[in-house]
Amino acid sequence: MAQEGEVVLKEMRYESVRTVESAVMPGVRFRIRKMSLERRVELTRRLGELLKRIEYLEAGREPGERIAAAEAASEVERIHLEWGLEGIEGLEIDGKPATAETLIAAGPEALSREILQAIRAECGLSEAERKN
Amino acid sequence: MRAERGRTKKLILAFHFQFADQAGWKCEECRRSGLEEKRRCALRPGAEPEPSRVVWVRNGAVAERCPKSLITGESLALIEAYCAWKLNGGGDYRDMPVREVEAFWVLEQELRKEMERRGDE
Repeated sequence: MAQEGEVVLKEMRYESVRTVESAVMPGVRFRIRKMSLERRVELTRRLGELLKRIEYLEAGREPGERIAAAEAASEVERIHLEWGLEGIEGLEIDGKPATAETLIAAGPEALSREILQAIRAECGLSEAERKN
Repeated sequence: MRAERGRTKKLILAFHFQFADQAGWKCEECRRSGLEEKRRCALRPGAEPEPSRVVWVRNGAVAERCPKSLITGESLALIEAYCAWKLNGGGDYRDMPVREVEAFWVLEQELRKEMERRGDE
């Protein structure tokens, strides 16, 4: 019991993962990783060159470049999902509990998009950047 | 050994490039103005070997191709890790992977150069 005038230090608790209830698939919950200094470094390592390549390709006039840019953008989405999705609950894919890998490979696209949006928001990307 | 030197060179390049005016190195404007050949962009597919020449210099960092196109994700990640390390007060390097220690040592030298340069201005 604290005495009068005594300062009580409360222990700060921090969860490095955020749980989100899916809006597109009620009953499904997913856990996404919150950004940290180390996780940001990891993401930069994985995305750095790909983002540079996308900028280059998008600046081109050839249709082939546009296609290649779209392919590279899909790869960025896959990396974001792999990096940011910690787990899914309440969903089975082909009779097995869903994981980040099975969601990417065979899961419902609307859910993948919803998770991706949540991850990108966690990364601090603006709405315009999220659309790219 | 050569690959290591190449990695260090790219790291130094990435470090100094972040202090440069980024506006002039946006791919869209560069390609629209037809500068990608002149700047020897490393992202150009099937780029033939051309005689090397300096296209960018800053504080001792020299690029013979578009600096932006040469910067690797690994270099950017090391710079971010270095900034985080500095932000945390520069913790004990003995607990860090050797590769990171080497990179941070290089970045410390380059930061010193940058500070000296700014002091001279």
